[in-house]
Amino acid sequence: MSHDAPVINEAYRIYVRILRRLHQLEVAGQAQSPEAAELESQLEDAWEPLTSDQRESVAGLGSDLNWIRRGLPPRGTPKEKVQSEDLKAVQRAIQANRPREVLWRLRHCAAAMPQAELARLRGDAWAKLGEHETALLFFEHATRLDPTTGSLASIALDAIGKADPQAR
Amino acid sequence: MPRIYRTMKRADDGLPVVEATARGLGVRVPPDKRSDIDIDGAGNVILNGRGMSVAEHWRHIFPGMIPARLDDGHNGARGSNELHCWRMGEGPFVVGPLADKLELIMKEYARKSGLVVPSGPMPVQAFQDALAATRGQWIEDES
Repeated sequence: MSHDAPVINEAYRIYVRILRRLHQLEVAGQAQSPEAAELESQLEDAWEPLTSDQRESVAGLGSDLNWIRRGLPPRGTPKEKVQSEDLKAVQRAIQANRPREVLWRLRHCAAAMPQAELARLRGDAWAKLGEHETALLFFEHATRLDPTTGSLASIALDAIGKADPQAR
Repeated sequence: MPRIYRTMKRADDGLPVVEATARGLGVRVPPDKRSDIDIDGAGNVILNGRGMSVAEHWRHIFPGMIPARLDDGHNGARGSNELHCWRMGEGPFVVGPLADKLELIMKEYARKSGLVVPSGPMPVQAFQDALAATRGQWIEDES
């Protein structure tokens, strides 16, 4: 595993932007649309110039977005394999303000966590990385999963809206 | 011979489909706008570092080409489940001869990704034939 921050350059941003748009199309039931096909080609082109660290990072985001659409990953770590120490490590990474490590550990622990909480923590981590539009997707999902405890996500949404109006 | 991975469709005989597409054993050629190689006026492959994409492991392949059923929460797999992961060879993933008329080179940006290219000047069909000739050496491996 690597918690090193990849270089966030234009190539990285382009890939993330296309991936996010594809996700939105798939959520809207437009996975087979001409726009989705064109974006899929663009995504493949955008993959080429990425470094190994950047690829690892955007692949992780890809899985996180897959989870919003499809639920837990078919080859993810099963709930019974997640140890209490793994969950404590998530908390330590949060307290130490290491959002990349938080994201990685959440991927490992996903099956053993309340899913609305998982969505909110992913949103928090992406927001801390400055990826506000990405964070928004997870906060919205948190609210969908559990409207009664979505208030924290709503607060985060408002904060993002104030900090980055483009993200709303 | 280096060990390489590629995702491809599976034919009825349990081996990769030979096909000049991104999902088969072969390369896309001009005028396909997503061509994998360039061809000169005589129909020969231009040796300019382009070829059939492969990787050190299937986990390093573009996530859009990894079947979605293999999503492990980290690899972003989002590809068609018609695709299967295949490997060929047993050696380290380094530049060098790969098979008859073929060699492996590395991609510029990501060292875990490479390209299978002609080992010398040849017509495009000879390159496709050389790729197809490796068909029996590919083993399905999604571990």
